[in-house]
Amino acid sequence: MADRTFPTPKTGPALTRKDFVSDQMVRWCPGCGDFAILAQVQKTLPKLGIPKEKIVFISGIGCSSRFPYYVDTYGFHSIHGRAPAIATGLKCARPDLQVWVVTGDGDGLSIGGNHLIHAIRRNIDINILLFNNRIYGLTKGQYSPTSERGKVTKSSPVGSLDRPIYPLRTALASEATFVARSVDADVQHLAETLERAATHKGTSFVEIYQNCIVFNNGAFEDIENRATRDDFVVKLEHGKPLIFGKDRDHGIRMKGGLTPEVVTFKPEEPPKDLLVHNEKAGAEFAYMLTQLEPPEFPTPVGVFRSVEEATYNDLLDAQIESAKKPGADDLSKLLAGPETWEVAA
Amino acid sequence: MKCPDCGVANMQGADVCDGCGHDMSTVSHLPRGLGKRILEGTIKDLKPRDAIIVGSQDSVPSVIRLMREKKSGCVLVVDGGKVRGILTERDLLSGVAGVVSPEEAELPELMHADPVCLKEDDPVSFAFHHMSVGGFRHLPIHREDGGIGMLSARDLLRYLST
Repeated sequence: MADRTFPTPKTGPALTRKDFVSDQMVRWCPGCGDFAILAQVQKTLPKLGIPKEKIVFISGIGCSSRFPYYVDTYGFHSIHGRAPAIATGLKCARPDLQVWVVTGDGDGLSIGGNHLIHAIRRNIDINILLFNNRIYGLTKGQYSPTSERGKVTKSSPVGSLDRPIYPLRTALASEATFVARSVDADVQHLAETLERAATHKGTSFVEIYQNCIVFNNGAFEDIENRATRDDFVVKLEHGKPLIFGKDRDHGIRMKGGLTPEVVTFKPEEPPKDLLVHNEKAGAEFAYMLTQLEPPEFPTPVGVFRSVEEATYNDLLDAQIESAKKPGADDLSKLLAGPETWEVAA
Repeated sequence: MKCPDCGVANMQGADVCDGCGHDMSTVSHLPRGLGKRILEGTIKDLKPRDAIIVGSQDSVPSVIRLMREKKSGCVLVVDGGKVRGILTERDLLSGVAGVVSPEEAELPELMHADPVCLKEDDPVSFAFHHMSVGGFRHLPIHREDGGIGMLSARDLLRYLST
């Protein structure tokens, strides 16, 4: 994994979590999963060694999009769904900044779905955090693009007919170079995932399962509950087999080479043909992992894919440098080129 | 969220009024303290009563007698420890009275199958949300000890008024 470097050297005393806590009163519902995510982001930022004034959080509209108020960095609570577009412009104009986008399942995948996929496919050097609570919380509980089919809400009184959109599959279909998933309640895993995302060069996309305590409480109950999560979650680790369960006695292997299946074994004798995670593999491998879903499979969390590719910013910088070289086409030459003529009086 | 200054209806969560720019960050549509109680209280705080439980094979007349005896507007239909349905006065009014004699009526046909059940550590706001969305007046509550309680709209009214 390539580490990002920023031109500003580390100076002054080391920053701590407190340095990233703003003076704004946090206005989320008591018990909201956003609090846990905020805390982990504030813990992660000091580890990056980037000055506060070089960090920017950009959000759209929604509960999650209040995020920039609560982090003591520069920020922009922007237009519904347009945070990736604004982040794109900012990162191109100021490549020295570390740019984060905070969005939700509605803001990112419905209102701003188009902006999201284009930011990802360009591989702009930004970090996108998508808080997925499978509901519109700020507007009081309408079904969102990630709500399950049949969901009864204020806007779907007899059940939603829509098939849900899957954030990670959308990111992979957009050629994402870094795709990960974590859970608000698993703070250690979340912190590790955020740090990985922050140091990835290119667009990092992290889906965070987030509980909306008022309008969709328990949406991720099995995954969030400490007592059950070991049986319902498989943690992806590069180069390691997919093993899960409280007793580490379940694993995943490919049946006939193509179809995943769960196998049970004695913990001391894991089968040799268990699927081994490879985050450097092609997108199709990561896509297959996103299709592991309950009740048949545990929910995978961790880094699904992390590969290096040229970023949009690298290419843009190179193009600008190339245009500055002597002999390169200039605008006046272009304007007075062979395709111009004078209209006789 | 209605702006107290100009009366323009703003989107929930708006920080400034679309109409006049008034600071909406401190405006709440609920009386002081009530929003906090709804958001921070749990269903356990409402002390829901024990649910009155019947089996799906029980006769409708026996269930009606039980509801009268217990002065309850609803019963929970449970088979083998699993909640199968909920039967309310309203179901009896619309499905039995003037439609069919209670002796001929079948409980599984009258009840609402697979009702929404909450847990006692769910917030009060979540109960409000489900009653509002589903049009329910009763919600079965799974207790930590394995028992089942029944939360009624009246319990919520009582909670709000005290």
